[in-house]
This record gives sequence, C-alpha cells and structure tokens, in this order.
Amino acid sequence: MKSDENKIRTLSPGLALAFGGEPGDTNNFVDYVERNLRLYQIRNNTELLPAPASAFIRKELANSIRSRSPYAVNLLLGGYDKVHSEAHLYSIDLYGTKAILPYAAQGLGIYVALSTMDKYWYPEITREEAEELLRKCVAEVKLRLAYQFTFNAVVIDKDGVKDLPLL
Amino acid sequence: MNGGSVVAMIGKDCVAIASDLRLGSQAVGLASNFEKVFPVNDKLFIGLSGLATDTYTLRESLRFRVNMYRMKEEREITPETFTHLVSSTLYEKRFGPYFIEPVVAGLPDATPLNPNPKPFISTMDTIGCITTPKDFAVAGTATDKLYGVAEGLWEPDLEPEDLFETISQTILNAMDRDALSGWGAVVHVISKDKVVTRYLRGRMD
Amino acid sequence: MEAISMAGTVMAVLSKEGVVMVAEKKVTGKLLDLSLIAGGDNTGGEGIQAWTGGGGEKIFLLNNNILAGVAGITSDANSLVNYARNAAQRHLLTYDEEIPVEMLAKGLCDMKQGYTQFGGLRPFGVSLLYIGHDPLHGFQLYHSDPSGNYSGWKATCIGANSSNAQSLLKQDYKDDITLEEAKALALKVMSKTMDSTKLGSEKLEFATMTLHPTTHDPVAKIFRAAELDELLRKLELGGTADAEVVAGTGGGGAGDGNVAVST
Repeated sequence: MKSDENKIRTLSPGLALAFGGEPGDTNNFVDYVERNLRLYQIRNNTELLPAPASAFIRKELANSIRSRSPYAVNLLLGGYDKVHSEAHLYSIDLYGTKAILPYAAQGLGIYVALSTMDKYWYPEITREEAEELLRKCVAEVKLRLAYQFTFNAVVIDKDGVKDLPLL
Repeated sequence: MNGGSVVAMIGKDCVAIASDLRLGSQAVGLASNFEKVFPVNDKLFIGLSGLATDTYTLRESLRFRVNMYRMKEEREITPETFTHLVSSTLYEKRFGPYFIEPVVAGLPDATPLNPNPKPFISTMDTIGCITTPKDFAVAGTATDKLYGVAEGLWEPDLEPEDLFETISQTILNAMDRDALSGWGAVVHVISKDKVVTRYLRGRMD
Repeated sequence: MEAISMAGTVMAVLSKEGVVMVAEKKVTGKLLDLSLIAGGDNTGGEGIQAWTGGGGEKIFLLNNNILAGVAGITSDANSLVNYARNAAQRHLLTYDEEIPVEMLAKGLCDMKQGYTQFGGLRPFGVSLLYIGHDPLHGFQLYHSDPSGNYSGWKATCIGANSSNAQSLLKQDYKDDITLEEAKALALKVMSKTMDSTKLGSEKLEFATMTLHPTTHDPVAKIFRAAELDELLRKLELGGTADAEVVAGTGGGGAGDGNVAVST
C-alpha cells in the first residue's frame, strides 16, 4: 500500500521511538506516549530520561494487553541519558516485554537484521562502525526479503535526534 | 513463549536460587541479560519464570507491596509471609492469571519465638497455590529436566560452596536439554552473614 | 502557624558531600516508654535499616533517597508522611526509578494547597524540611509551609526560634562547606537555639543523606542514640554519657540526672 511511511517519532530532545504493528494502533499509541512525556516535561520542568520513559511505556502496554481493547504495537526505544552520559536501547513488544539490548530489530526483517548484527556487532563498536552496520542490515533486508521497503533512520546523541542518511 | 527457568535449593543453614538469562520471543533469542531472580531483602529472593511481561509486572507490584509492608510494620518481611503475599497477589487475578510460576528462597531471621529458623523455599502455580518443599523447587520451561537433574544431584545439608556447585550443575545441565532456556545463568547463595552472586557462562546456542 | 512556631526546631544544612538534618525532640521525659516504639532503644539505622529501625518523633524516611523533618501538629504530620511515602512508591511503580526530591515536595504541596482553598476542611498545620538526593540535581534541601509554598535552600530551619537560628546559619554557612563541617554547624546552631545548655540524644534526632562510596546510591542514615552522643562529645557540645542514661535518679525532683521536659 505504502512503502515509505516514517515509522520513527522523536519524543523529546534525547528520545526517539520506532514502531510497528497494527496501523491504527501504532500512531494512536505513539501519540499518547508523546503527549504524556510532554506533559511530564511541562509539569516537572525536566525531560523524562530514557530508563523511566521505557518503564512508563512498558507499563502502558502491559496494562493494555489485559484490557478490553489492547494495542498491537511493537517498539524500539532509543535514547541518550544526559544526566548519566549513557546511550540506551530498549525493545518493547505488544505484551509489554522489555529487553535492554545493545542491538535490536523488529518486524519482517528481524531474522536477517539480528543475524547480521550477531555477526558484526562487538562491545567496543564505534559510532561510525555502528552506522555502517545499520546500513549493512538495511542492505541485507532489501536483498533477502520479497517486499521492497524504503528505510529511514535517526541517530541520537547528546545533541539530540538527527536524521541519518542511509546511502 | 519467552522461555526461562528458575531453581532453588536448601542447604545447611543456607539456600540457593538460580535462573537462566535468556529472553526469547518464540524461537528467536532476544537478550542474554534477562535475570528472573530478584532480591526482596538481604536474605530473601524471588524467581519469576514464565511470561516475561508478567515477570516485570509482578516484580514491580511485589516491590511496591513489600516496601509498603516494610513501612507499615517497620520490619523486614519473612519468607513465609512473603510467600503468602505472592500467593494472594497471584490469586487476585484468578480469572485472568499472571503466567508466572514463582519460586521463593530465603533465610528467616532468628526471633525470640523461633531462635533456630530453617532455610525456606516455596513455589506456587500461576494462581498462587503454595507448596513448600524440604529439598528443592523448580519452575519454567525446563521444569522436567530440572527435576531430573536435581533429583540426582541434591543431597541434604550441603555447605554453601557445595550447594553452589550442585545448583549450578543442575541448572546448566537442565538448560542444555531445553531449547527455550539457557544463554548463561545467575546463581545467588544466601547464607547467614552474606549473599554470594555469581554469573555462569553457558552454551550460546 | 502557631503550632509550628512552638514546635521543636528542625534544621538542615546542605553540603557537596551530603545533607544533614537535626531536630529537637519535645516529647521527652523519664516516664515516656521508649520500648514501645518499634525500634525501641535502638531507633535509627542506615540505608535499608533506617526503615526498620523505627521512625522518630520528628525525622521520617519518606523514600530511600529522601528524609523529612516535621514541625507542627504531629498527627497531621503523620498523615502527610503517609501520603508522601505512598506518592514515592507510586512513582517507583510507574517509572522504575526513585522519585526526584522536588517532585515529592511539589506533590505534597499540591495536596496541602488544596486544603487552603475549600471550606469545611482545615489545612495541615505542618511545615516540613526535605533533604534528599537524585541524579538530576544532586543533593537538595526544600522547605514547605502549611499553605503549600515550597522553596529550595542551602541551610534553613523551621519551628521554635527559627528566625534566630536562621541568622546564625546565614553567618556561618559557606558554599564549600564539607559534610563534617555541616554536621558541626547544624549541631552548634542547634545548641544555641535550644533552651538547655547541654545537648544529648534524648533531646535530639539527627540524620544524614550521603552517597554510598562504591555504588553511589543515596544512603539515608538516622543516627542511633549512641552514635549521636559520640558525635556530640567529639564536637564538645555535650552528649549524654552512656552511664548517665542507664543510671538516672529515678526521683521526681529536679535532680541533676533528671532531663524530663514536658511537651
């Protein structure tokens, strides 16, 4: 139907959320999260850091799955914690299962992307190498999957969320 | 669905509890740092194996309840009381249960009424029916295998170091026979004056 | 407001290495049965033991990273402490992190303000000092009054004689004060503010919030009587000798060993 929809939302200066799942649910849920994080920022005059934000989002999905109309949304949450000077990555699925990971993938290309990163990722990987690895994953997905998607990417660091060119 | 296993064993004036570290989604392994055993206080731990989202949810709601208990009672919760707290938390969701089989392991403090308390373990089904074994308790996707190995290896009155060896071999060998558990393990040995936590490396396949 | 200006003084001093809080106990006396308090004669403790050591009369642990000192109507204060502890646990449940100090102070003030606006209910007759630590702003000290105003301080004081104490603090406070100096300053000013000449654990409560040397997590410490007396002796501000506490004269007169002060 549409192969170039942007599935990454910037939630705050140091936080971005990539999402997949049931089309109506995804945007609605991410809107809800975005507004709640904004409300927190207005009330407390401080951004919610990645770790508590991940806990909040997980809780919302965990409550949702046992409600009458659950959201079917899978998420990857990336953030830079300015207070502790750390980068964070979380994978949260529609059940509210949260994994704290060095690399993660979701959706149709999960097998291809995870296998690629299993092979090439190593603990001391630099930023340039990580960006290159991401491009490698995208190339691999394009090569091996029947569907042809267009991809977009962001990089999050102490200066905020910026678009990352993939070519 | 996510996989994972927990085992607890009684020794001589000590208890041990261990879990694997895998978090999966069906057959795909997602993380090898997913601990399923959490401290409740200095001498009490709980292992929550089953659906990973419920592992988190239950850990958080139990932490809330234990903190409230500590504030109101101004003392630490005992393993027996905590077991009943877990049980009633599970039974609250009798008709839409948490998919979790908890294992509790703890050393009770000596009190004037009970000067020589025994090491304590207990386990429950998903709706909170309690069993309190005298030897070991197992839960998770490798339950059958854990029973087999534990029956063979466990013996009464093991000292902390021997208990560590026994529980480590039990979980490592049971995990190797289970596709949904593995990717390393964590072991806590609780004895009178200290808790020793060790991470075990396992097969990464 | 009247109750607060009569209440036992509570004072707190901020330093880079931690925060100190000291409070004057009003309800003392020979006939008061300390053994009925949860922690008994051993009230106090450090870290997680501060929870089970039992609360004092003036200083309460609100969360692992926050302590509060209260001045005013005690029963109102107990109710506020309960509310604050609930709020802190709700935050932990939602965000899986300890509540930031200012957020807890603000939450309590929102509640206190509500009681000033509507008829039929009386406001909480309590002022509080909050000391705590969070990763966002490090060590902090806040003061809140019954109307629901709050403000941050480097050193401040509530309760009886607080304006005198305040000016003494202003004289002697310096920005690069160490934790040990902060302890000494708080106790020294307290000794000048209180009626009695000699300080002792039976008239004071004392607590600190510091960081754990290796884990860097906040550690609350409510001093046990013996620890406080030792500190007082070191600072030459008094400190009841252990023997005195045990001995006591037992008589009803105004003997030397009799430290009874009502209310």
